Amino acid sequence: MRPFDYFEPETLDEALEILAGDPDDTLVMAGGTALVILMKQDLVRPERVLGLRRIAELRDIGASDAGVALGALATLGALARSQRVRGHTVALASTFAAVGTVRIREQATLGGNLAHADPAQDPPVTLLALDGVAVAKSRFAERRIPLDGLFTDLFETSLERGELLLRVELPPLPKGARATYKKFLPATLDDYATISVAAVIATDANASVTHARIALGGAGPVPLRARDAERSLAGRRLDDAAIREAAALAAAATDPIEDLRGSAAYKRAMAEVWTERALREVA
Amino acid sequence: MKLEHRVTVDAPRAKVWAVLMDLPVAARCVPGTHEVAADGGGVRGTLDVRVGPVKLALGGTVAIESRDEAAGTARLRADAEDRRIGGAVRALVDLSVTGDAPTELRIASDVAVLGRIGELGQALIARQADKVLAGFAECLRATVAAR
Amino acid sequence: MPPRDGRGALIHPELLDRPERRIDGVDKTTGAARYTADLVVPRALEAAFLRSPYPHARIVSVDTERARGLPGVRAVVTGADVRGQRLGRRLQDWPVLCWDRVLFIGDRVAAVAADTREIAEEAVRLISVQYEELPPLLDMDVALRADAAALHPDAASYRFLEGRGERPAVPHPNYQGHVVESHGEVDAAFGRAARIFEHEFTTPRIHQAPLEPRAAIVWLEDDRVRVVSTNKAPFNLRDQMAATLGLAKDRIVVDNGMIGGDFGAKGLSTDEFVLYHLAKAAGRPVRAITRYADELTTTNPRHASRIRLRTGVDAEGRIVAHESHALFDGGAYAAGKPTARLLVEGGVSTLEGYRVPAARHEAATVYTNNVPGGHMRAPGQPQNVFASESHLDLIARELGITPLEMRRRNVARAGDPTTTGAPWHGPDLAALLDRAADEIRAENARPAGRGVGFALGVRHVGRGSTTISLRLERDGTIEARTGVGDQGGGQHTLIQRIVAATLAVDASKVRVRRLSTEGPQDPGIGGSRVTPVHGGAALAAANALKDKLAGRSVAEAAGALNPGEAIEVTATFDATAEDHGACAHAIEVAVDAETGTVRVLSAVLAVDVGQVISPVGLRGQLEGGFVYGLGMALTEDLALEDGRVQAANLGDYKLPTIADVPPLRIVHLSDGHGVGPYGARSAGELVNPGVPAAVANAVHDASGARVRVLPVTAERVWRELRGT
Repeated sequence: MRPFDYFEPETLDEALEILAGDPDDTLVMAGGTALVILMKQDLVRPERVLGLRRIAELRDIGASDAGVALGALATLGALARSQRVRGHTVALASTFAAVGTVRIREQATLGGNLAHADPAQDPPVTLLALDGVAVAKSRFAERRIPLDGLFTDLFETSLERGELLLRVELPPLPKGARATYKKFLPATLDDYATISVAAVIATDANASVTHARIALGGAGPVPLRARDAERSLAGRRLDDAAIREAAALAAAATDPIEDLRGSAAYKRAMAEVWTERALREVA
Repeated sequence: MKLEHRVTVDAPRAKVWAVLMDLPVAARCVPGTHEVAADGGGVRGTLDVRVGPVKLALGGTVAIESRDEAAGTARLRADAEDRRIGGAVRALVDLSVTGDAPTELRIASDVAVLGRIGELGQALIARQADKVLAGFAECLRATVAAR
Repeated sequence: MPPRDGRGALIHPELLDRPERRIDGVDKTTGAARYTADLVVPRALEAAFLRSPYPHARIVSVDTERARGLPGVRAVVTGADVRGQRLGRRLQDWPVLCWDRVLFIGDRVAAVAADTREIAEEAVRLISVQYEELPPLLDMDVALRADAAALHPDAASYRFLEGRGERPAVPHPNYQGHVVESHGEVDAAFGRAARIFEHEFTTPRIHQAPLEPRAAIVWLEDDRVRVVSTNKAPFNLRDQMAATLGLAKDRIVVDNGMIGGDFGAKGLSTDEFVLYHLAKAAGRPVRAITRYADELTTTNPRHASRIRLRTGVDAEGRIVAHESHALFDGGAYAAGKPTARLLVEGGVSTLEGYRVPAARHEAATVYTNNVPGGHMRAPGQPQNVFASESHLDLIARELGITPLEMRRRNVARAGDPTTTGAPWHGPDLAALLDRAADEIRAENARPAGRGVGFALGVRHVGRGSTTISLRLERDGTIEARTGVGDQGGGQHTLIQRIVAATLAVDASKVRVRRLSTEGPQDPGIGGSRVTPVHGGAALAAANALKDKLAGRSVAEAAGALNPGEAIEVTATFDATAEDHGACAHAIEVAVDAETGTVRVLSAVLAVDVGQVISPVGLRGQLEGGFVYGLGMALTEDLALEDGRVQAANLGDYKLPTIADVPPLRIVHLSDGHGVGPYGARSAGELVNPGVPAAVANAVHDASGARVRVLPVTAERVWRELRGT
C-alpha cells in the first residue's frame, strides 16, 4: 500500500469540512472492508483518505417518525443484534447477519455498504424492500435520497461530491406486514449471493394484498425493485397463480451479469425460483 | 471478450460513413475521452474510466486498420495503456454499415484486457466496456443526426 | 495389535495413543511463529517483477531506462541479462526471465530491486516492453495437431536434472511427457467383453491455495549464496539453483522459516533465481513476497484434464478389459513436475484399486500457452479417480446393478491383478467399502432428492532416504536434527513422538531442530513421504540411541553425563518397501432440483493408514483432505479466458469454509501392517482424490443428473436436469 494523508475527525462537521477541501481526491472510508482490499491490490491509490470511524454521532440506531433510523456508521454486526432493527422486522436483522463473516460484520458499516454499491450485497436489497431513504449531507445542504435512486450503476451512486451518508430511514411497516430475505448461496455458504430476494407483503382482512415490495440483489448492475411484479400482486390473494406470475415478472426485471457465480440465464431463472420461495414464505 | 452493438441512424449511409471515418470526431464520441488529437493517420487521446473508487486513465491511439467503403466495412484498432495501475486495453472494432436512410450501424468489438487491470474482474470489465461502446454507438447516432 | 519397534520388541503403545501436543501449536496459535516473510535481514531490498500480458509473444525490445532512473531503484535485471538460464525441478524449461519469447500470461520479463516494494512496483510500470504477438495455443488438441508450432523448439538443449539419464522421447514436440503402458491381451480381452462402455470426463485447473504465499530472500555472504525460502524441499531447490545459475552446490545454502501450507505448491520456486541476480547486481539482500493475485494467476496449479475411459465387462459386470486416454494441460512449462516422465503420475493408472486383467493406459502432459501445471496434493490422482469412479457408476447403472454392487464385484482382493498389472497386496479394500456402506446406511430408502455416492482411493506410501541425528543432553532432553521442514502437516511432531515412544520418554523431552542444506541431505516434503521416510529415520535413530544406552533408561544415561558431554547418534534410513494406504468414501447429498444446489449432508471415510502415530495430526490430514476434496468437487475452478486466470483473489476463487463441511465420520480399519514405522502408512494424500467422484456419484443418485465436468456446480446440475 502506498502512503497517503489520513484524516480522522471526531465530528460530522469537521468531516464535511475536510471532504470539501478536496472532494475529488479524497477517499471516504468507514469500515474499510472493501476499500482496503482495493488499496492493497493497488487498484485504488488515494491521495487523501477521510476515516469516519471516530464520528460517534453517526453510529446511532434510533427511532424516526414511528419508523427507524439507522446510523451510517453502525456496524452490520451491531445492526444484526439491534433490538430496534429486529423489532422493525426480523428479516432486516437476518439480512445484516447474512453479510460475510463475523470479522467483516463487526468492521463494515451500513453507510460503507451502501456507498460501495456492490450489486451483490445483502443489506441494500432488504432496505429497498422496506422503502428505505438515505439521508446525505454536504457542507451546504442535507437531502433525502430514496434508495432506489441511490444506486446508479455498478459501484456507482447518486451521492454528490462532498456528500456523506448520515443514515437510512425506514418508514413504519403497514400493520401485519410480513418480510423475508432469501440469499441464494449455491456453492459455499461464505460468498456473495448468486441472487437474493427480499419481499415485504401486507394483506387486508380478505387476504388481498395491500402492500407488496420485491427487491432483488445480484440481478443486475444495481440492486433493483421488481415493480411489475409488485403491481401484479395488488389486490390479489397470494395464491399459487399470483405468486408464479409475480415471480416470472421479477425474473423479467433482471439484467444479470454473467460471472464466476453463474450465467445470466441461470441467475435469471434463479431470480424466479427465489422470488417464488420468498413470496410463499410471506403468503 | 466479444461485444456487439447495433444502432439505427436515420441518415444516409454516406453521411454515417463519413462520420465514422472522421476519427477525431468518432473518438470524441467515446464517453470519457479527452485530449483527442490527430496522430498520423489515426488519433491519440485519453479515456477515463471509473469503476466505483477505481479510476483508470487509458492513454493511447485509435487507427483505421482497414476499410472498404463499397462493402461498408472497416476495422479500427485501439490500444491504450494505464500506467497507474499497470495494464492495457486493446480493442479490435469491426464497423459495418448496411441499409441507407435509415442506416444500420453494427459495431462488433473484441476487447482484450492486459496486465493488472484484469484483476478488477472480467465481469466488471465486460460491463464497463459494454457501457462505453453503447455510449459510443448512441453518440454516433446523435452526431450524424446533428450534421 | 500393539505397535512394535520394527524389530519385534513391544514398545510403549500408550505414548502413541495419547493425543499429541503439536510442536508448532503454541507458536502458531499465539502468533509467535516466524515465517519467511517475517525474517528481517538488514539492508534488504524488495523485488517486483514485470510480467507478460500476452499468452504468446516475441519480445522485440525492453527499455528499462526510466525504471533505472527512479529514486530508490537499486537494480534492474532483464531477460537479456540472464539469457539461456532456465529453471525447473526436473526438466529445466522455464526461463529465469524471458529474453526471447513469453509463453503465458504472467511469464516474467524483467525484475527490479528497490528500497521499498512500492518503488519496485512503480519502476516495473516504467519498463517498456514491445511485444510481437504470436498465435497462442490455448487448447490441448490444437497444440497436438501435426502442424502446430513447437512451443519449445530448443527443448533438446534443456537440462534434465538428477543424472537419471535423458528426458524420455515424446511423439510430438508439444508433449511434455507421454506414456503408453499396458498389461494383458487388451484387444483380445475387449473382444471377449459382453458390453463395452466409453465415457469422457474433464476437470479444470485448481489451485493449491496455501494460506501463506511464496516468499524468499537471497543474499551473498562470504562467497556463499544464502537463500531463505518457503520451498518445502530445500536441498532440491539448492540443486536446481546450482544447475541453473552455474554455481557449485556447496556455495548455496537454502534455509526455511516456518512454512504456512504447501499442498504441493511450495515444491516449485521461481523467484529465488531472479533474486540471486538482483542481489548480485545490487550488492544487497533482496526479498520477494508473492502477491496473492500472482500466486493464483502465475504459479503452478493442478493440471486441467480430459480423460476418456473405455471398459469392457463380462455378463456379470466384471471388468475384463480397460483402456484410458488422459491428457493433462501442462501449460507453458514442465518445470513444476519433479517426475522423471514429466507426467502427473497419479493420473496414469485409471481404475486403481480394482481387478483389471488387461489394461492399456495412455497419458500425457501437453505444452500450451496456459499457466504452467504443477504438483498438487496427490498429483493427477483426483482427476483420475473422478473419471474412474464416475465411469464405474455409469456402467453399473447401464447394467442395472447398484454402484455398490459394481464395486463389490470388481474391487481388487489380495493377489488380484490391478490396473497396472501388479498383483494387489495392500489394505483389504472390500472390507473398507463394506464398512463405508454400512456406516452411511447405503441400503436404507431415502427421501426424494437425497442420494449416496461411493469412491475408492488408493495411494502409494512414499519412499526415499534421509538422515536424522539425536543428541541426548545431560538434562535428559533429546534434540532430533533433521533437514525436513514442517509445512503444517505435523512432520516435526511425528519425529518427536517416534523418538519419545521408542525411548520411553515424555514427548516434551524431545526437541526437533531443522537444519538448512548445510546439514545432511534430505528429500523434503512430498510424495506421501514423511511418515515412512522421516518416521523410519527417526525410529532408526532412536533405536541406535537405545543400543548406545545399553539397557539404561534415558534419564539414567543423561544423569551419568559430565558437563558438556552428550550422547550422539546418526541414522540414515532408506525406505524402499512398496505399500499402499486406502480410503473408501461414502457421501450423502441432497440436491435441490429447482436450483441444482448440492448440499453434502454427511460423509464417511473408511481408511487404512496402518498404525496411528499422531492421532490429532492424522485427523487433521484426513479431515483436511476431505475438505480439500470437497473444494475440488463443488467450488474450485481456476478458470481461464484467453489464457488469463480469471480469479485474482480468494473472494472469487472459492474454497469451502467450515460452514460447508458436513458431519464426517472416520473409521479406521487396519491390520497395522504398513511398511512405515510401527506399521504406519501415509495419510496426507489419501483422502482428497476420491471426494469429487463420490460427490458426483451421490448427485447422480439423488437427482439423476450426471455431471462429467468438475466442479459439480449448481448451474451444471440444473442444466443436466433440464437437459440444456
